[in-house]
Amino acid sequence: MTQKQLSTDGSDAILRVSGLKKYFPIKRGFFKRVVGHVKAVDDVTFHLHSRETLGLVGESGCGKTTTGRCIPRLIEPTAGTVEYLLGERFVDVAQAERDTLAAIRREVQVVFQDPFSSLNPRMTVGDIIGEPLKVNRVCGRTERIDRVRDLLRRVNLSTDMINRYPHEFSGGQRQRISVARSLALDTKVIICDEAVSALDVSVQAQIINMLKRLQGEMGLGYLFIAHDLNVVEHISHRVAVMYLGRIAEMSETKALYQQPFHPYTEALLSAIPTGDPDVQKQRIFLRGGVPDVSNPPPGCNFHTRCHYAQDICSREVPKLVEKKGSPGRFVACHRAEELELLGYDALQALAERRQNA
Amino acid sequence: MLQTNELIKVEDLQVFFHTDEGIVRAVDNVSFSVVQGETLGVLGESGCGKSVTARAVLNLIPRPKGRIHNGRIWLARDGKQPLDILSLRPYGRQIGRIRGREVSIVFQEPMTSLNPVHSIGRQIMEAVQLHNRVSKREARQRAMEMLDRVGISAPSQAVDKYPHEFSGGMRQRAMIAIALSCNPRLLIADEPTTALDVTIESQILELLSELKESMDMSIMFITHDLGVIGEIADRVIVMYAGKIVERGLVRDIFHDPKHPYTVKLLESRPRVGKTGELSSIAGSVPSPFELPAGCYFSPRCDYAHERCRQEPAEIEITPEHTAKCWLFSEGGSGIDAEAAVN
Repeated sequence: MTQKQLSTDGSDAILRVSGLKKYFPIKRGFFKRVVGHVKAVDDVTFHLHSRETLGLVGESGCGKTTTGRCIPRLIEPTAGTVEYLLGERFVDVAQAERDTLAAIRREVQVVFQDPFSSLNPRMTVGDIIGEPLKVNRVCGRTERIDRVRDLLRRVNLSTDMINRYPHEFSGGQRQRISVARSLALDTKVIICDEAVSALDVSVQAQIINMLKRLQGEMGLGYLFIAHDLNVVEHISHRVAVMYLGRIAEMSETKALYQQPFHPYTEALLSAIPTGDPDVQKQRIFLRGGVPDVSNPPPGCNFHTRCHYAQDICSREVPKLVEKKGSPGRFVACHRAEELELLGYDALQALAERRQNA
Repeated sequence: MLQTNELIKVEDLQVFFHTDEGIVRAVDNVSFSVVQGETLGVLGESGCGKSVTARAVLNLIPRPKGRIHNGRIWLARDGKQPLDILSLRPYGRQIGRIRGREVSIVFQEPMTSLNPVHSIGRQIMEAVQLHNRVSKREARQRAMEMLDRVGISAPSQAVDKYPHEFSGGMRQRAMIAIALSCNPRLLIADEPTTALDVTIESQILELLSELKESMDMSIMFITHDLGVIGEIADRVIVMYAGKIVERGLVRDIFHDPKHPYTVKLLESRPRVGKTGELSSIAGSVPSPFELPAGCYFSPRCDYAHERCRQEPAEIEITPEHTAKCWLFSEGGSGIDAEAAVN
């Protein structure tokens, strides 16, 4: 996709998140004493431009969904700022008053994973899509119906379906309805929280194509939260890889897949199923599973599973910094400067060589 | 009945569900076999009947709504006549001796298929003691061996732990340990990695391949994930709306797909390095109550023709590769599937 050169510091962004933290208290005993915290999101910083898709990937429990929900303040962040460009100036979502927050939420929408539970089964499709217009008193009834029809056409659904109920639709169609609802107001940013993960491959492709088309038509910015690295590669301009509440690496998509700088990214890339029976990929197996989030390891939280870990990794938390000589590429690893990691193609080539040997 | 190396053979299986809205023909005239030592992949989208097929093999169809209307499932037995599993009483002793010992099954959700109030060790011991005359101590020993085999560290401690103390990947390993504790000849794995993260998924796939070799068993692997099937299967059957539309060696299916559905399915997956618009299949899977006449895929098919209103036969393209499509019947030359492969 063609894109003009964008800043890497977020000065021309539409959304800037910095130092975002969300700690959930762990309560125990009769008095519900707080005995610890789950650091679901721990110091996350990124930005998003309009017409841009930022992929947010990571294993379950890494905090990607929590990050997404903190942005329109569906959950209250513990610390940090979420700045959104409302009109001409940036406003901090975390501090916003009621009216400002409502204005922000008219422009920042969320599409959830489960198309079966995110639509009210007792409302018709017309009511579901028209509800944002009604709640915000955008227009009267007749105009509303016109607008709903227009939205249905946008997501390639027949306008005859306006009076039907969600149970009459398939998973893919329901996800189209969710997207239509999210476009009802002056939407500029959509947070797609695993929006295509529950769909079958053939339908998934339809929805991905539609999201890309709508981005082109309406200049939307997407924060695309997903765990499928094939899907993320296809749709994202930039990707942020999260691990246990922190961003491990963030970079332009192609560069990240071809030359990862963080050992965790390398391991994730090696785990993508190739779908080619002739190539058995060289896997970099991570030891064990993701550590307990309520009691993460000290230092770099990935060091317990990392093949390149050294003493320093268990002592100091690495900061997410721009890698020397690679503008726009951010990595949080003590050994980023010295490690030579393999990208997707290199892993594939290695596998092919082994196969032939 | 059975060829020499066939372990299990499913013939004309029909499983219908009698719901309030009507009859759902979940599995309709499905025949296939699993050969000793192979991994058979069963590929299909949600609602295609792949899980029902898997369950029917052990006669685990929920009654009374689900009913097996027709079919035979032959299980090979050493030195004895093959046995038709469907002729056994579904709650009887005979099938009880097959379930878990000859044929085991691992389900998708490792969270719900383990009993939360029993320790992991006890759940493995239950299977061991049910099928073997062993003392409690021996069974416990066996449980620890199995946990070690599936790669759970410190099995002597893990054996006394409860499911909630295990992570998703460890629970799935424990499920595999239970399933393999009695050395089954066939393991049915029903989407065993779908609920897991990709790093854990690759561990489990590797584990299954290893165990298949070392324990000399066959695997029937059910999934909707093309990437996974390419990695693990030797042969593949592709299902659509309750019927098998294509079958073949995994290479044939991936590099030379014949049925338009398989071709489209392969085209529509996003892959690293692939750019531009993804090809997708128009429309969606038909509702089980409003199945189209003839070929069920025809309303979504680019090559649909007048004759597709009649049901096509399964056409042999090579002895190992068949497709259920009119394009390959007499005089048909198929479609140019070159473009589909990368």
